[in-house]
Amino acid sequence: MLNWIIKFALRNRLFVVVMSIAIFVYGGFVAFKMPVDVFPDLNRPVVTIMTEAQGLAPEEVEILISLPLETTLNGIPGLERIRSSSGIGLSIVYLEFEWGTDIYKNRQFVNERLQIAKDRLPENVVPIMAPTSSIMGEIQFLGLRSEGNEVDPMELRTVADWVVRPRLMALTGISQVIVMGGDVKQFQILFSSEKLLKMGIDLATLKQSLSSISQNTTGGFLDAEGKELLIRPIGRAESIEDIENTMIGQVLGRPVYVKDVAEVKIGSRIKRGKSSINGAPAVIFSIQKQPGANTIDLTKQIDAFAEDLQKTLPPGIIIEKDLFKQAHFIQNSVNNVQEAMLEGIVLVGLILFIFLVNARTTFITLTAIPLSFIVATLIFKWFGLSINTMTLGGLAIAIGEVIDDATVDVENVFRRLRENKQLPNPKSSIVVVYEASSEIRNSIVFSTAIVALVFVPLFALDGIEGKLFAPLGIAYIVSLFASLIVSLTLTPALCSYLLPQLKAITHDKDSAVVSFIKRNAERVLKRTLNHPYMVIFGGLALLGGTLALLPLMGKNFLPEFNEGTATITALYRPGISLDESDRKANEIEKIILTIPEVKSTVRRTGRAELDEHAEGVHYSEIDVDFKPDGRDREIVLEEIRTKAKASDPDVFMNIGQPISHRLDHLLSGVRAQIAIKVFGQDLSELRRLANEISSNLEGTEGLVDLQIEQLISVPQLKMVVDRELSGVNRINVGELTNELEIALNGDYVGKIIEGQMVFDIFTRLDDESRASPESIENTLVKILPSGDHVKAKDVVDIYQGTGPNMINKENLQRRIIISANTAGRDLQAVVDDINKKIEKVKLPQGYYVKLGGQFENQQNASRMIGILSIFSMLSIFFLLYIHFRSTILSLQIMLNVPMALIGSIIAIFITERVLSVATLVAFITLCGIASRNGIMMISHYLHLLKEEGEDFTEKMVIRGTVERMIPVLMTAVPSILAVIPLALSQGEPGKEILYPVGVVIIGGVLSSTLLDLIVTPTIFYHFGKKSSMKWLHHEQNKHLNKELI
Amino acid sequence: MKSLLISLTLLFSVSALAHEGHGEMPTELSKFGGNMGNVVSETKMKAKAKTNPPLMKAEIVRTDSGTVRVYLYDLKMNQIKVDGLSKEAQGIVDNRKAKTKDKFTLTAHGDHFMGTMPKQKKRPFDIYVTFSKGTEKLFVGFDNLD
Repeated sequence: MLNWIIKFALRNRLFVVVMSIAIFVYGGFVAFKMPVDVFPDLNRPVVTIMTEAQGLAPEEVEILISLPLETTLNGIPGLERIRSSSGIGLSIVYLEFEWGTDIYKNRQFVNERLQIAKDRLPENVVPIMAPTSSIMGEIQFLGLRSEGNEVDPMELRTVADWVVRPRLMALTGISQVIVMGGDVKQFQILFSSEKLLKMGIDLATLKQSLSSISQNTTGGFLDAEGKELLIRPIGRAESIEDIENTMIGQVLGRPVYVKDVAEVKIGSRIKRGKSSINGAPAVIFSIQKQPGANTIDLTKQIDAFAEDLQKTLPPGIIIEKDLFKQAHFIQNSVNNVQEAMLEGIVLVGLILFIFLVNARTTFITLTAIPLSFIVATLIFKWFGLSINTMTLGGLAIAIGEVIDDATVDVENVFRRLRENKQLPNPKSSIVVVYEASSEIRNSIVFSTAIVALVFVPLFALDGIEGKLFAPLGIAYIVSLFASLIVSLTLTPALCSYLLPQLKAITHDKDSAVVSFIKRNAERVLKRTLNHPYMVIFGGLALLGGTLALLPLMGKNFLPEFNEGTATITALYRPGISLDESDRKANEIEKIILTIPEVKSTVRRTGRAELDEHAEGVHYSEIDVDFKPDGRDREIVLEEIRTKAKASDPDVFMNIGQPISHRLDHLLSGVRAQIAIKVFGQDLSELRRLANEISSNLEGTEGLVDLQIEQLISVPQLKMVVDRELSGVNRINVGELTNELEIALNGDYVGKIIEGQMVFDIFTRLDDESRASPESIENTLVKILPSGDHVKAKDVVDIYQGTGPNMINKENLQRRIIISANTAGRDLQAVVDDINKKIEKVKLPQGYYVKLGGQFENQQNASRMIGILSIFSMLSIFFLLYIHFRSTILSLQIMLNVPMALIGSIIAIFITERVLSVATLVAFITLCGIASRNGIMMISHYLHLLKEEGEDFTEKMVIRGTVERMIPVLMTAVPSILAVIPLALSQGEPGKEILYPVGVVIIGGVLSSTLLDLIVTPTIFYHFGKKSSMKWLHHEQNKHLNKELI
Repeated sequence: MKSLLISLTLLFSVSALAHEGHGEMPTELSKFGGNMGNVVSETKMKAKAKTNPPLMKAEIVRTDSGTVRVYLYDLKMNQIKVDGLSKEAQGIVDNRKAKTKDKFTLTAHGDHFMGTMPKQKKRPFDIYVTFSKGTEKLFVGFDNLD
């Protein structure tokens, strides 16, 4: 089969070359059209259900909304975890499904259950399923601001809601646009408690008459004179006057109009959030893309839209488009990795030229890189993968490997052509190329299979690490197999075109570099070959020494990303008012803007409608975009932290990055490495336990940012209905609370349509009537048949108490979280200490503590990679055994793995001293690359014994080693050089995860290659004779059997 | 008999002062998420807030099952161990709505006093706690609990 492919390629070499060019051109075209993103699709299947319940307290939201939803939705197939947050007027339920489940099927299941749940929820409360969005979903901010405060916030918001948002939503690829800031326009009917009392209109009458203040109905059809007329009773109000002149009751037979008891005006809807751009009030659009949408293309579309929109906006309104854009990070990251790839290719080309000292051979070898990558890109397209830093990273790591097959082929063809030239009757050059390519086909396929198969078990990785590294693995393996195909087709075809006429094949001389290496290697070998125990114990000591470094290193789940932007959360104690929180956060925003490196800020205080975060008004999120140059980011962030804290000691700040923030949420719902979750029923007890645990943990070595979730008591004005008194006054408790809700919290009683815009009619008591507990007490609740007035104070007890600001649950259990990060100490050691300290806390019955967070993912991933690496080792061993039929020889080859480990551990220790999932994946990748050195070396010894009649002597081992040293170096050195650009750019956008991979490969290949030249020959010489003879005997018998058959 | 007399004295002294307010409400937010109160000298209870300044701060944390914990802090909100105080504290639940006054005892547990309050049928209610530091009798009131 393989011979047939080579033969076909040589017989149709022009066709092969033309086809290769065609594939290259087509693939290049496809590559430019492919979606580009920072990371692969990392989305965990999560369905978010948001239920707005205006004004309800967290306790009610929990019992009336979250709990029925949770109990109904629990048990959906594939559901792994259900979390909920019940805040003031808002319930958010997160349903986290197993990785790999179909999100659309999950949504279908959820939707079916929601239909059942709806009946269990309070009237007019509608749960909404948030749209599917990607983890890198929030791609851009746009803003609307008034130039010189000429335009009032209401007009800004009206333009935002009715002009900008609908047009943005119409752009293909946008899943959600969340608008925040400005004043939402509404028609308000603000009743005066005093006037109602004077006119004798009670809450029941008010509620009854307001329910139909503005409505159109239908009168059916009228058949007249053969025509059908649609009858439309029209009662919808169209103006403030219409509302004012609506009758709401009668006093002594005289009508009472709205205007008699209320002020009707255009006002702003009650706010739960405010926003600003660069410190000035503004309306912000947070734009989220659909999963799979091309961020860069979408950003271009949005920018063009904004440009276009500016021309049609009313005077004085400016659209801000130069705010946070994820596309900058993507472009930056992808460019960085592409740059690293190009630099790698140039370095590899240079080293090949140094070894081969020939432009043509170098050219043929290098063609494998672009062609393999283009083929890989076409396969990405078929798999539905995007171009991202991980797929590009896979290609970058593969640069050193994809040229191997071509290098080995070209080197062999070149050598055979040279030998052929020396013959008295040289064969046809095309025959020589065929024979030479055919001769090494098995070793090419075999070594490619090993390097690629080592990676296969990593596809079993679950969770985010699986999602992250699978595309890297696919890119790596696909490009390796593509390079194998290239080496069997295009490489022989190009060799047959370009090499036979080459002058270099007429002389038999090594380059100066090659001669130098061979000379010195021989000298070293003569010294080490007869000291096996020194080599063995020396190697073991080195390995032991490096393994001892492992406990000195920290452990992380993934390296920190450098997104180029920062998300700063500023938290005040819950209970603070929106205005105060806005004022304080605005001060911090202004401080941030004084820092020279800051380009722009976008601040959101509180929560926007449709926002998937259940944050209260105490919470502000400031997204900071930085200028490309300036001081080191860490210094800048520290300055922000210090200045902000100095200006406002009450603020608790947390500085993160947009994508990292979402990743943390996705992993555990907590944005910290360690989350200590305390579960139980009683909120006070949970808070007490959390504080006790937190106090115990204070001072733990390596534990930083210790913080208890801000679930605290906030002031509430409680109105407790006195059932006895309400009974005496013939007032139904349910009706009373409903009426009080309308009076105090308000209600939407109709709509007013202005052109294409629809505005709510909202009603409640005016500010004066609800300014204090005393004024609320005097609200007229009912007029008794006797004419006596029943005021609120007659039937309810009003007092100021406290209640929780939020109630969080996980799998239907209330919980509070103590979060923390680690610094300067192994994560596992810190977690062990935490466990010991938690054990000392006496937990009441029914309460328990669970540890979670990034460390859990790190532990799970490390455990899984540990298991998978055993499979990788076993697959290498079995492949070697199939080839060599000897356990001893297979194990001798596998000695390269610990030799590689030595270099990689030292390399990590010298550089960042942190082991992450990326490092572990790199270790496994390294196993395949390192084994290849041993295969090349031992195969050649066996070749000398079998084909060239050498005896098993020291001379044979030295000859074999020296001869194979150059091909070994020619494959190992490019493997190192290819990843040097990755390893020289720690923390650069796009290279964060690839950096440790590069470091591990460089260290590992370096040590395994250098030690391979000493350890493998020595071990083979002293412990490989019996196995080699057995192999030789087997091979001769095989040959004989073939002849006999 | 002696303890009955002390209890009665305490009860009267507390109830007599209960509705005059307990000085300014502390502005600090609680550590354990409970309600805060100012600890003042019981002997100066009749005096105005200015002449009976807070000596320390206290936080009451209650569970649904009726367990009451009272934590003490200095004026800078550093937690104080209750070991140096009386081994027991007296608590009174003053339920104005139900017109009842129920007593309960709290015992010292390292960093807090702990006891179980009688179940209340009506809300809100106030809790007053008295304890002593050496010879000085101290008082703290927590209003509008539910």
